[in-house]
Amino acid sequence: MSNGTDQLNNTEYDYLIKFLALGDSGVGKTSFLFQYTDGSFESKFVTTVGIDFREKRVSYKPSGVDSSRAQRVHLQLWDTAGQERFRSLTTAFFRDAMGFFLFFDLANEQSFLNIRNWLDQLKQHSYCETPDIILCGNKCDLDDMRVVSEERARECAETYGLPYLETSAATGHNVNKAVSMLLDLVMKRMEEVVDKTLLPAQYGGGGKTELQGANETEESKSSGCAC
Amino acid sequence: MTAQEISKAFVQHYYTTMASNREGLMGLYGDESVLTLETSECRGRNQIMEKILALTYQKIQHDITSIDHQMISSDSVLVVVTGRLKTDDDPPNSFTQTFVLRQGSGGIFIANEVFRVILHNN
Repeated sequence: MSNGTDQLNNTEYDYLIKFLALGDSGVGKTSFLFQYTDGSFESKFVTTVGIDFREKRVSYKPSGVDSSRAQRVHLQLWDTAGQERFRSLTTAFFRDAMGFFLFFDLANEQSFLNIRNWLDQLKQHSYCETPDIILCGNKCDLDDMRVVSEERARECAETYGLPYLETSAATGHNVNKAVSMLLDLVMKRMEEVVDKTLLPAQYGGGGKTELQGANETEESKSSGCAC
Repeated sequence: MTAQEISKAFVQHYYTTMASNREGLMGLYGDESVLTLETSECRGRNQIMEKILALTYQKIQHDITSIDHQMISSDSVLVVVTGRLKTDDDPPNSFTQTFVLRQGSGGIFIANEVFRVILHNN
């Protein structure tokens, strides 16, 4: 209890990252998030919008940069709270999330076929047309009930250009990996965005000044000529 | 029966049946019935039952907040219900459901029905 309160009140972090778990009902979204947060944090529920979310603190170290300090990331993992049962998702779900887990159930053909619909909705409502998504074939522990082969799932993932992982919310297989993969993608994207916004001031701005200088010189030259 | 009595009895029957035995709702729809469930529209008893039975929850509970009603004509009543519902282990969600009940040859049936989970965008 006090742990949860401390988490909530502690504002000492570098990034607040929001992930949304999507997919048909019954594919194991809630169990996956529960497994990831060890069930140790109380889930919170935003009644008005109907978003159920869990939180966890992680540290993120950009790969290839040894010297830099690990970033403190406050992860919010959103769940659709059963509304997908009625197909009644508010677009606020999609709009505010920075990365997405798209789940299907390896033992449920229809949930696999519905990936396409979920991707259409995602592209339409999320903050950009190509958001970061990890495709997760869940319940890989139920091997004797599997109806979607790994090969077929990988082909599908490739078609849509998504990274694919087989996960099990029951055993925890690839659960941490899926979250860290998505975090990696989202953090890289953020770094790129930051780099781009810094560029004009550092280089673009300087270039412009130079160009203006060149024009002025030319003008003064030509005016000199006319005299 | 007054409109109030009809709507109260109907609401109780409908949500009890929905919770205990969804198939039992079949008797409440006819061939002219229309159901709009979120973004999908179903016409006629068969399509409507197919939709209702395909909903993925095992358990559903309704907590009714309000029941409003109006006579539309001598044989039709408008019923508007608001409340909260809980499916399986999901958190509760607010909902609104609107019915037009009509007197048919075989008794009162649902002529029109519109369902929405209440969500906001901010």
